[in-house]
Amino acid sequence: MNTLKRQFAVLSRVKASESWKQDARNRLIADIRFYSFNKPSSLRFFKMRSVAQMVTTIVNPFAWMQSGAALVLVVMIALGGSVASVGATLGSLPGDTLYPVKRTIENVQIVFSPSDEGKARIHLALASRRADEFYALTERIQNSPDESKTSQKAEKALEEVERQVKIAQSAVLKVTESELDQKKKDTIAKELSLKTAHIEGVIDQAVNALSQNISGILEEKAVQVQQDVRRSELYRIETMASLVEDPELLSSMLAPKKELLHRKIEEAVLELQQGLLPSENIQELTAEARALSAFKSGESSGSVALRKSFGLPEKPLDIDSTVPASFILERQERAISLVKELEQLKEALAQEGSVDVFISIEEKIEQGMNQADEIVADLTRFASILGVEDPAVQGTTPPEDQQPLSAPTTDKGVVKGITLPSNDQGKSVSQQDQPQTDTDKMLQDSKKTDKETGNTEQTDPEKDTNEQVQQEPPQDPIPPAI
Amino acid sequence: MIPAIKNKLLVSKIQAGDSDAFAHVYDTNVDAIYRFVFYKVSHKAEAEDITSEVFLKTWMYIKEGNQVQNMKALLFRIARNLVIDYYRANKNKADVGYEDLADVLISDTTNADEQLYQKQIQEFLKKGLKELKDEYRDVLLLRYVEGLSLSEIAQVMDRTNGACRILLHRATASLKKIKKDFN
Repeated sequence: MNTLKRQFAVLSRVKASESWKQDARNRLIADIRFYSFNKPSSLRFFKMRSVAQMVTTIVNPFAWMQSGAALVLVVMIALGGSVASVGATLGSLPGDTLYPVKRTIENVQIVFSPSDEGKARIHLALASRRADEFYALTERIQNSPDESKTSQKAEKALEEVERQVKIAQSAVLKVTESELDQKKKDTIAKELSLKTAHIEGVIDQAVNALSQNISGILEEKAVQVQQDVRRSELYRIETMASLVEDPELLSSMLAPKKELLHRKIEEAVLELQQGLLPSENIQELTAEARALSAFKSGESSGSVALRKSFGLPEKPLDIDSTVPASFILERQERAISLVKELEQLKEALAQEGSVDVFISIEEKIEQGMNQADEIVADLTRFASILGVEDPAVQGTTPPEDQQPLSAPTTDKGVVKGITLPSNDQGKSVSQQDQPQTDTDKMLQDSKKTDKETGNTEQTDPEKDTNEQVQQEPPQDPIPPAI
Repeated sequence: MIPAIKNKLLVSKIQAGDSDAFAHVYDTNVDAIYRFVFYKVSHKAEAEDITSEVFLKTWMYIKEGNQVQNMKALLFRIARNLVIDYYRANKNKADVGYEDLADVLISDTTNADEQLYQKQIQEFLKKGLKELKDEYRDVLLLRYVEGLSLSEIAQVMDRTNGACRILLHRATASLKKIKKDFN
């Protein structure tokens, strides 16, 4: 019992930080005074955030900042502002009536900060806020009846994000070049790390939300801004490194960024793994590829008979031979090796290293993820055409295609073989158009992808098989239906 | 002045709008409330927010003209209720385990001592307090960390004195059992 009491006594050593205590006290007093100003009925209205807390969201320990907030409060009261309107102002989004007021308040706060460091902090916070506003608008789009107008507002919000990020960037760079006290620089570095991580996360979420929508233009623009923001100096590790001297502090600040990258790698790996084609398809495709290379070496006595001798179905599995089996296999292999590479990068990320090492890892991750996107897109296409039924696969083909193509023959949902043509005639006629355009698209895409990946060792065998295939009797591009 | 009268005077000052009077309440009680909330929510930022809210709400409660017998008990009761609301709203938030402890310890000792204390607290929390039922944890904290009397605890928990005594007894037993199982 005694030890228990003693241990509890130890617990009483926990205390709140003095600076927060002081801050909270000031806010409390401000609130009390503010609410005393208003009628009691409005007391019930806001059960949550206190007024002062809402206005001084850019927390600053310096007293003069408080006076800026106090000035704003006075202005709002003078304008007949009640608690309700204050809340409405601060939560307002571009396009709302009170939004200009919000921006005015922000400008007042900027004016009230004389130091470079203060300005940097404010601008970082504002950039973060602009990103939040943009995200809030994208959410509205999904719920609003007047979608096009909200989309326009969202586009403008996006521009504001970009603009504010640039401003924040110059403010931060100014601090890096200034002769400020190291402690202040460290504070800015911390803010930088937190805010940039937040902005990145918010835009990412917004892009994901948008990709499920019809408004493709907004999504494209958002992706563009996302890339620009990522490439800006604000996000470069060199900027952080030039602010912070202590290596331990630096690595702790890079922690959120590391975590973000870690998560992204995991997502990419998951997508790759889910996009992999099932092994039955792979086996059949491998057999196809071997068969075709056998054709190459001269034995072309009646393709059907030869295919039979290889134990292959009458018609090739890769539908229209414009995408040869070998290509599909290569993509699959690449996906598997990319997963390994990304896993290795993930491990490298977890290790402590110099800033330069981290930067190079980051670049490699970026490249790896771009490749992953491409490969997943390819594999998804192949899968939907081959008729692989996989809930994880989100095919690019329109829904009407999906049904006839999906073949729930086995529990793995793999297309087993091709039934005799006579059974298919009815179905296949109606589908003839769709798959053709698909495969045409595939042809263009695969050619493009080849150029992009610059995979030279691939082009030669592909040429050969293409030629070979054209010599064969023309085959209908009928997808294997069951 | 007798504490009861002192208290009444304080309350009436607050109701009249004397912000200094309430500031005094804040200064006297903020550490205790913060501590209590922190041990229940285990995150510094949340603890700070909730603590601020406790005081604001308390002030509103008083301003609306309600009777206040015991200021401390009132504060803790409001704190406890706010934390319950917080739990309800944040069911899916994982309890990370008092990571903010380093920031929150008093830094008036030498480093070695502080480290030892931190370790002790973390040990204790990990083994014991975390596993306990909320109610048990509450009464134990109120009694042994904050030093509230039984009748004060009864006001906070909204129960009778007798019920709280039983609760304390069970809580201590439960804590001991958990520590034993853990060891």
